[in-house]
Amino acid sequence: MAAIEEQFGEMENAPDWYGKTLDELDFEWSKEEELELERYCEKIIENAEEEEMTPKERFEATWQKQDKDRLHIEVKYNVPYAVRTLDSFADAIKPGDLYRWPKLHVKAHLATAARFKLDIINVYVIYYTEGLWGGRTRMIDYGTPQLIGEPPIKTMEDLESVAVPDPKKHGLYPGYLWALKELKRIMAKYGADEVMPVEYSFCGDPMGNALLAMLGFNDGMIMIKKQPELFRASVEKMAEWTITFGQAVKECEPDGFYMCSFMGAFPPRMGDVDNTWLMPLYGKIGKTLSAGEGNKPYLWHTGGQSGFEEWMHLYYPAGAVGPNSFGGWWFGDEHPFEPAFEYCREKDLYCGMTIDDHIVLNGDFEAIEAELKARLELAKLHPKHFCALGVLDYWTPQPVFDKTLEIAKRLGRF
Amino acid sequence: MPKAQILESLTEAMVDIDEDLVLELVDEGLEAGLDPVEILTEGLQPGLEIIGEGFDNHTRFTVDLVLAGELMNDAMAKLRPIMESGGKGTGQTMVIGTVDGDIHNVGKRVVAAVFTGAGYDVIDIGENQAASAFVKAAKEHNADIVGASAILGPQKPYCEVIHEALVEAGIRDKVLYIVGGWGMTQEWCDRVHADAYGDTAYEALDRVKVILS
Repeated sequence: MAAIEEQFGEMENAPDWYGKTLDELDFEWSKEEELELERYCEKIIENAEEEEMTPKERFEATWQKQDKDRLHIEVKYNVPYAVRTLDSFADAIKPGDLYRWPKLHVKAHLATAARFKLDIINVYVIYYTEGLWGGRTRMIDYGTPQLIGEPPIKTMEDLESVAVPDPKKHGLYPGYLWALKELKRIMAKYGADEVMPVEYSFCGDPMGNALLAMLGFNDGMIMIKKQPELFRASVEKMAEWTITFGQAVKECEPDGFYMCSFMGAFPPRMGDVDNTWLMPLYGKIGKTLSAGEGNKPYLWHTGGQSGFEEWMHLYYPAGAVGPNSFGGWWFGDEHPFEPAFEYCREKDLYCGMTIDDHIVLNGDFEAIEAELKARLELAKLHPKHFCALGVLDYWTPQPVFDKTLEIAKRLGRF
Repeated sequence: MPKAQILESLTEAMVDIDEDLVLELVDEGLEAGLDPVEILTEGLQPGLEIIGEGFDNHTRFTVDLVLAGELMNDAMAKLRPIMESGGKGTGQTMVIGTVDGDIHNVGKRVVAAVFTGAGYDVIDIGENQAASAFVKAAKEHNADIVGASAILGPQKPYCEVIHEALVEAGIRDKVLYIVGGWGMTQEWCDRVHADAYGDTAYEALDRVKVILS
């Protein structure tokens, strides 16, 4: 097999540091930037003093099943909305700028936590390994890097010719890991880490990444039925990446880390094709990442797309959720929330169910209150359950987000 | 097999996404003298609608939409030449693409399949397409409808760039301009000067039919 770098495609619009390893990155802060970071941390600490418990205490209490003042709120605001805070909704700085400039990535998350009085800083992954298995990519302003041209993996020979990359050395991942480490370092320097937890993503799941970066979404979907062996082999190879990447993220010492679960795009069984092999594979990921000495951040999935009902009950028996594995789910709004809460109560799993992001985008406060109330009343029935809020649309007005959080905090009080 | 049974079997095969059987029944229907439009509207399209409804109520999956869309395209590859030679179909052309900066395509493909199923000649120009590409394709194919898909929220404003490009090209008043994608609303539709949008592919089709009728 050739040197791994030979399998990487060119990335258009890549940052200057592209090609450097994590150890080689040497970004420095100016004095003005240090002041900026310190002020964000001061504000985070000040925000935490407004309530009975700090966000960190509340997060710990949730996982440890202890009493708390209100439900923990986990918002998947992700990079696009973090950017909005940084440039005051000007649509000046682009999400792609945060992928190119890790310092901006750090600032954006601190600013967002400070501005919105969040319960946890959520740092979402930069991309899904596009270009690292062959094929050219292009960095764009408003989304993750795009594969240009045909997907790289079409045959078993293609797959066998590629090796698993190293997130500390390859692609944009060194920049992402730098931002994760730096965020923790800064928070520790100014004391914000004592009150504010951080959650780091190592998304997507192997199946989602294989579709996006190896096989192409449409072609990959067709392969599930027509070339199931290639589909499975691709996902299994991608799972090696997921474990490697998850380990690297874990070393950045978050309070929690999570992996997307893209299940729901297809059923566990499609005619003669049995896709349930995915469950023990996810179990392997969860168990591997849960194990080891030292820091043990909490670990969970995000997921719950339409169709997930068929999969949910398969996770626990396979060890893909449960003790010493993924501890539960942050569910999207397409999943029926009542049975999910009930199931997660029975299995003692971390669980939150978000509301429809469209109603938040539209600022429909009556609907926001009604949907949150329905979910939070159920979430209060188990100490490990929390208030999930979704991937905020780029155009969600900031006052709407403020009000939504206010409603969530009020309804989540015990 | 009687014609009615062929059509019924075709719908069932489409619901099952049985590629071989669908294409076999299309051939059988043509040999039996069924009108290709009938095969489309009474056989294939009902099956696609059932899958679409299933997706809306969470009993069918994204993979079903993708596979059904591909199968519809394969079936139309057999039917379209016959329809066109006989002057059938809606006689109208749709150009559809995903806007510049966005490569999502599943929803767009579903829309393309639904409009194909409704008899439109659909030209899919692909993903990450600049406004100029939409204009070029609209002119080249004498499009009646131009559809722009923007899944990434921040890309929604680009739909207005396409509108402006159509105006500048002097063809905006000759086409029905529709938009779609996650988070697309009537407010955004109005803001980008589109004529219609749809939360689902079928909703888009219904609105287009109303406007064009």
